[in-house]
Amino acid sequence: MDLLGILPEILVCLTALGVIVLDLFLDPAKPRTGKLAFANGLGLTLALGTLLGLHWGGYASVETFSGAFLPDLTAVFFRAVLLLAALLTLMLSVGYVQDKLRHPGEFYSLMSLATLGALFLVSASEMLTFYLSLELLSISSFVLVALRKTQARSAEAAIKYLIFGSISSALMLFGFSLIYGLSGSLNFAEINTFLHQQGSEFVYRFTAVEGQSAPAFQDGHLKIELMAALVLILGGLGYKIAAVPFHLWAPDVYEGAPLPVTAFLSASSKVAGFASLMRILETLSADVTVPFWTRMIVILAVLSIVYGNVVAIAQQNIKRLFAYSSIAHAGYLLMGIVALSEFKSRDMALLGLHYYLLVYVLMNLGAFAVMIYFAAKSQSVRLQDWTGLGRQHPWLGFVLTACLLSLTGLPPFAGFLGKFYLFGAVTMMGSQYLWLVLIGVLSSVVSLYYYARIIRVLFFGQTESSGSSPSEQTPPVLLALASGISLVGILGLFVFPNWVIDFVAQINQLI
Amino acid sequence: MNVLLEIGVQHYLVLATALFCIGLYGATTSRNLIKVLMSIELMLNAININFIAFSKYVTPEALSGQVFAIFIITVAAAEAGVGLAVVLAIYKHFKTVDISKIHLMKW
Repeated sequence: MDLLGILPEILVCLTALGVIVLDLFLDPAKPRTGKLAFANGLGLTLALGTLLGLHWGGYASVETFSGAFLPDLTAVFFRAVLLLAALLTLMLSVGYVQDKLRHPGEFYSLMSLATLGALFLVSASEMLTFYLSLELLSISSFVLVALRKTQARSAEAAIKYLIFGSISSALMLFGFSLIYGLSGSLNFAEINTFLHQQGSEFVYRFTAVEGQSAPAFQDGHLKIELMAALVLILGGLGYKIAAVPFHLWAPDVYEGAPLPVTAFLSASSKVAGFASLMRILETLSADVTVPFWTRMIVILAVLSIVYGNVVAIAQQNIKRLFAYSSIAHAGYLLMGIVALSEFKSRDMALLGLHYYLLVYVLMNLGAFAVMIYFAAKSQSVRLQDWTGLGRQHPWLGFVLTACLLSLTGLPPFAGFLGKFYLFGAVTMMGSQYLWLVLIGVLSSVVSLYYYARIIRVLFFGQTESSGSSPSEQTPPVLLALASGISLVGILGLFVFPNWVIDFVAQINQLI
Repeated sequence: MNVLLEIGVQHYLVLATALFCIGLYGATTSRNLIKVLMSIELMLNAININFIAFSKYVTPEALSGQVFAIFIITVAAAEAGVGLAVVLAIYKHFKTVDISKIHLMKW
């Protein structure tokens, strides 16, 4: 057994348990959020340090634990992104947890457990590990959403999330059981080999016979058993990344959940979902299956981009607006997944997906850091109540503006490069997919409208009170630090994208 | 007649698929939250039948499908625990478990 490979996960697990134990020993009468957050942050930082140290120290591992865990370079990248997302969420949550939540220990512990699930999910190389870590992530998230016990909305959001989550994981499992029945294996690599060798048994082949009418199925049409498995698995994972038509939970859950939990779901959950989708589709890629799932993903991508961007225009609640924005971003990322299907666009698509997911975490959590502060200031998450807040807090207003422009995809922010790589990858697939790029670009223009509306309200809205001069109050240090890291990240990654490009080139060399 | 007399993997598959569809129907149409949770259990048990049948007929030498089923039972219990806790919270706030009356958030 090679315990070194899962050392970061062990540390995160110990952190989650340690925070609960520490919570028992602290005096509940005194504020304890700071101490708990510190302990949790320490554990997560150690885990991130261990992960990066192992990687730079030259530690490389093949499949361990009887082929259940595969810490390859892709997994290292996404585990680092997930730990970074958890740390940023931790930083921006402290003030909110102190003011609004009665159970800080449970919040931090569950967040670490959800991160643990996500960490295992992105490096799982076998169905059982995949399912268990997905459920660890999901079940922790259900409880996190329900954590504001005094709020009816929190409970409503949790039950919606739980029902959708359970049904879609059951759909995915049914797909898994079919794949297991066909291939006789749970291991991803073995399933892939099986599909490559015997995949042609699962398509209809017809030879033309004179005097007979054309068969109902076209040549090369996938047989029902494999098709059902693919549809069910894509449905289950589509829920995790909130792609239309599996998005129905997203707006309500984003609105009802406590703000730091919304931030966590929009960043960590989405990264884990996409990383696992990439791995599953890589497993299910064979000559016979690729055309089918490409068609499905194209449909999901177009629906998500158009629906997310159009419905976001009508939103007044800032949390719902971000829910629809995250649906639209799932659509952009699915365009990258489409481009994974062809060899000529594969390198570019991998670069786009890795780069965009990292940048997405930074810009989304940067925006949420500022939003948490503004929501506490105005006691509201409705856009019209935020009038003039940007003028009172120039630094935070500036960070939010930068993050929103990056989400739109404007230079000089990293969101521009991310979209450039993703759209570029689809362009490289040839002219039959150019319409998809066109939809993506036009929808980005639409998204400028609703992102710019937030900026307009922040800086140019009319206020009745005279409080439009810069405020004397400074935001909490950790929250300002989180927003600073995000800003540095999205500017730095625009100027120096080579860091990610080189890393993804390393991944490509190994394939 | 042979198909009817000898129990093969297809019988289990038909049973599992029927059970899964009943569960899916119940989970999407029931208005009572407890019923929804029960329907989800039904879906998960259908998957268990699938895994065990495949384990018996496809890979009789390996037990991976049966182990998977045990894990699904465990996770289903955890999920039901969290689900019932959330239903309790719902009942405390709304004084009902009728899903059509729980709609603070729309669009």
